Amino acid sequence: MRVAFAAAALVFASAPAFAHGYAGQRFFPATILLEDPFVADELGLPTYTHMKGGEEPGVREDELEFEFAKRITSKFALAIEGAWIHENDAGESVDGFENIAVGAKYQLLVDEDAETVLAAALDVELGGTGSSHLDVEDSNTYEPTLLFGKGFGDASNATYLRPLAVTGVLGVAIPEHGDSALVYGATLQYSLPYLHAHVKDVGLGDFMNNLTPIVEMKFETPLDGDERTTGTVNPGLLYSGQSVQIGFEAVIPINRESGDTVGFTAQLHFYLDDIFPETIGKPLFD
Amino acid sequence: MTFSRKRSASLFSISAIAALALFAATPAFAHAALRNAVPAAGAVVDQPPTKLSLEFSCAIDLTNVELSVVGPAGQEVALSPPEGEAKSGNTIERTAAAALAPGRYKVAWRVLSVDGHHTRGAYTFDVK
Repeated sequence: MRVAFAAAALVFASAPAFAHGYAGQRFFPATILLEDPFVADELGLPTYTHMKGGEEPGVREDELEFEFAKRITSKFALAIEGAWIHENDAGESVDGFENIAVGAKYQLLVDEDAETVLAAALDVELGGTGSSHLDVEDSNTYEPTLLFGKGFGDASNATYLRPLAVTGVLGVAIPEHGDSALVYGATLQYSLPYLHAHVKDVGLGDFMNNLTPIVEMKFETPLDGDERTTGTVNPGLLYSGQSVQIGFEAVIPINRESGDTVGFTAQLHFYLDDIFPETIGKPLFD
Repeated sequence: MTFSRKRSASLFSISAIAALALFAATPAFAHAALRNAVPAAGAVVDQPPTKLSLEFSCAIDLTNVELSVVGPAGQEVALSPPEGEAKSGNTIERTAAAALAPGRYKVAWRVLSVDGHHTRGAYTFDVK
């Protein structure tokens, strides 16, 4: 009981004003493939992904996904996500909803000077909540994850490296039935907004000054059995507007088990803390 | 097949309506990002600038600005705001009390957007 109370006190402890993706002067845009290493009030609606052979060889998949995250305190957020998927296998079509997933995330660290963020998350895919004819898992899968982000603005001797930032995740997917898998990935991002505002204005213009070229990578390695590692490498661009972000990435499978051909993904992402700063865009308890 | 198309169309419609509604509801405030600066980040200027200007992406509280310019010898440059400066706006303007000597200057700022979000930043420029 005492431990629970202490944990609750930690979660609800007040913290400095903090919002989507900022660590000091570093802004981390919301990434499409990988979970972000910060808590935020945000809405990804929709994320559209087109792939061939992602789950089954030869099958074309179109997926529409939504994600909504809400800060409960300035350091703690809850999230829910779902997806509708359409599969086409040589003219035979099937569609339906994937299992709903819920998640909780806690901001462990924000070091403004070092442009470093660290978070811990627990996501749960709720078994049996999707369309049964899609052969969705009927039991839960738990995925505890550590997430980090680091900007290189402190690399004072390497001017053009300062806009660089990396984020990463490391977790384990633990199904109630079946084998666990290591889930890991990273992003490498070059922030043109950072270059423009904090390093050197090279005259790119307003549109370019809002772009972040990015490469996202995510992999899954089964911890038991003989199955191979699967994953994709996603190079693309993120455009960060004042309260909306638009992203577009190619989806390159790392092997045949991960997909047949190069696909693509696009996302419309809303920064709710900027759009609704006095209502749903702020923590419930501050 | 017909049903799946209808459901697909519905989901697209819901997304589009939600997106439009949110765009329409987007007010003109948010996190303040530095859009333009004079002198600009990393600039090398031949003539010592007498004015400093920082333009932000949204309105900020001009009564709650922290701004410093530190010169090559570590001395802070004395700055003064324009007369009759508004309480809020997108641009900070300051005039240097004296001509800037050659060397590297570091500009550091911290502002509060009118909806209450703090942002901060820093950059350097050089005077030949």
